[in-house]
Amino acid sequence: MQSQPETKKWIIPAIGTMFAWGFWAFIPKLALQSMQPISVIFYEAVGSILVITPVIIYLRGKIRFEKRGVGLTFLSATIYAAAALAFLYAMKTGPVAVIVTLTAMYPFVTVVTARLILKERMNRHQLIAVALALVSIYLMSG
Amino acid sequence: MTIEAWFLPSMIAVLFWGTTGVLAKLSLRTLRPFDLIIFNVFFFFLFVIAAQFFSDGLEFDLRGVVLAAGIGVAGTCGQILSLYALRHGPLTMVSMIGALYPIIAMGLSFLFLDEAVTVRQGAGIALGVISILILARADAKSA
Repeated sequence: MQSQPETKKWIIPAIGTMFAWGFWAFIPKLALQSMQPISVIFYEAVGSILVITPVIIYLRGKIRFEKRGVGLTFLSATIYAAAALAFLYAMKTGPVAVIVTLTAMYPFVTVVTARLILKERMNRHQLIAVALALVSIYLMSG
Repeated sequence: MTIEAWFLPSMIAVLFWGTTGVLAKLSLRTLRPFDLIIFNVFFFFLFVIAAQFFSDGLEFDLRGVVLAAGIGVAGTCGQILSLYALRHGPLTMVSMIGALYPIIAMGLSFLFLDEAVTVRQGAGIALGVISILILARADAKSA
């Protein structure tokens, strides 16, 4: 068992992650009350730059540049941005609780895609979770 | 049964974000997690600049701008905090706590918005949260 100071090292950032992502998922609904998704996503990116700039300074610019990894990240970031835009379009008209839960299920696509592309095996728990997620998506759709 | 207008873009987001998970796995074979976040933010910014050429012009509403920037701040802070937590804590617990973020968003929407959710959708949400927790635990155990 971990000692209390050791637990404190990760429990606070873990709970912080939950709250940060909770706000990340909720705030779009408010921002979209006065602007269109295409503008909201621009300022969202500016917000991300504001956070990452001190990180780059902290790392003193020591960023590892590896062609293949950066190329894949370019592809990943482009797809991510398109998804973020789709998320904002959904949030413009739909209920927060349903859309946030629905879109939080993206790791299921990762598991299935990893099975297909990387030939990673799915364990029993993953299969049960995927089955439950499909029922849940069906229930939330209407 | 009628499919709501928000359902299709939501499913596009699920499919696209899911794909980025695999690409991130491949990128992490050669990049460090912090490098990945930095390049991600940089390319994300390039994408949204390019997207502006297809819009009717960038809007400016101070409240909206502050809130929208807050989305980016919250999302990126979450990523950094998650990396920090993963470095010091057990993968299972950190993944499961992080995966509970829809509950925070739901709590905020109940506090600040007056949105109606049907019984059927409520059941779907409950089942969805359970399935996310099962997956987070299963993923962390197999990692």
